[in-house]
Amino acid sequence: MPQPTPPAATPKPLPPFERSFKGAIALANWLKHHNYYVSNEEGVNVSEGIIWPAFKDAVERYRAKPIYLYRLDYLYNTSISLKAPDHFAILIPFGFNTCHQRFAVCKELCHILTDDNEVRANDPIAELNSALATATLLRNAPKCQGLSPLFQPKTLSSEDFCFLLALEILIPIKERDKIVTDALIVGVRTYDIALRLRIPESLVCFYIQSGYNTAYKRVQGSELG
Amino acid sequence: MGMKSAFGQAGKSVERPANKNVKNMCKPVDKLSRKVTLYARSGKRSNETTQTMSKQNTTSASQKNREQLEAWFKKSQYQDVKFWIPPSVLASSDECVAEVHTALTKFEADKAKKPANAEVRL
Repeated sequence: MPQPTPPAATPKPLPPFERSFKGAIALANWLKHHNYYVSNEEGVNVSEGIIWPAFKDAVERYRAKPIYLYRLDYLYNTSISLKAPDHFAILIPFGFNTCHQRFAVCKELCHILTDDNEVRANDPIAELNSALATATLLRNAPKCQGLSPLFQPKTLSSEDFCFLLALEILIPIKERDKIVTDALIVGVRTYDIALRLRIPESLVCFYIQSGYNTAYKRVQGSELG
Repeated sequence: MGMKSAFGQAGKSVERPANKNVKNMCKPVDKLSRKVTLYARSGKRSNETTQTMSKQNTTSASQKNREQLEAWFKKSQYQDVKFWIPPSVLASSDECVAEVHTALTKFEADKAKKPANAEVRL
């Protein structure tokens, strides 16, 4: 007779973190090593089920409230995360492809995991405009002169912080140099890279054109120094 | 040489053709202006008035959407809300507000909604 599966361990409480690029890198690294199932030892976090249900289950246990996912055919461009007194709800457009679903769900799970009263939003219009501003910032990354505002050492909005945290979770560290080399030297299409990583192509473009890898290495270098 | 207007040579007084729809002149401005076709100095037709009207209607509709979304959120059980819009989406703020407002209203009204938790693997 099969033995019942023992309940999974409650994930460890989050360490103190700052809402910045550096903070997102540090927190993502911590999550990978503390029972949040966003990665394994090889750093391959693109396998199916790693975001949902694995990461979701860990966040659910941490918050001690159920998280429900709804795919709505009357939602087209926007994913939404709602906090109710007794549960969390994530609403995503039914038409999002797998890559968009993975990123949207991962980013909303990051909100559920890291948002506290300090960044609680009760003005949906302001939040929507903030999400639009982030989308515009990402789209215009190649036109930015110098370091993207997202990588500067300053406190970010919850929106921008969770975007960076989700990106840190979803792009395996050991793949990062290869992504840049493939795109800029070998000539691999960004679409093919997106397919390999299973993240939206627009975010692959942002990763390459914004100098993300250089900014990441700079933060890592300053940590080592 | 002056630019030719729709009614003739620029700078010369032009006698307008008799307006058979004089009754229209008595209609309220908003009804009347929809029927007016403007002619730019280049002689090309312009729907400027119609566009202005349409813009005003859109503006008031989007303002209404914003107010309704805010009111909906205040009345709802939710304590926090966050959004994500992919960078590939080129929608305006008004369009996003309209979409979100419609979606959240339908979502709340849908008593038969079931989460897709078990069906999804990402």
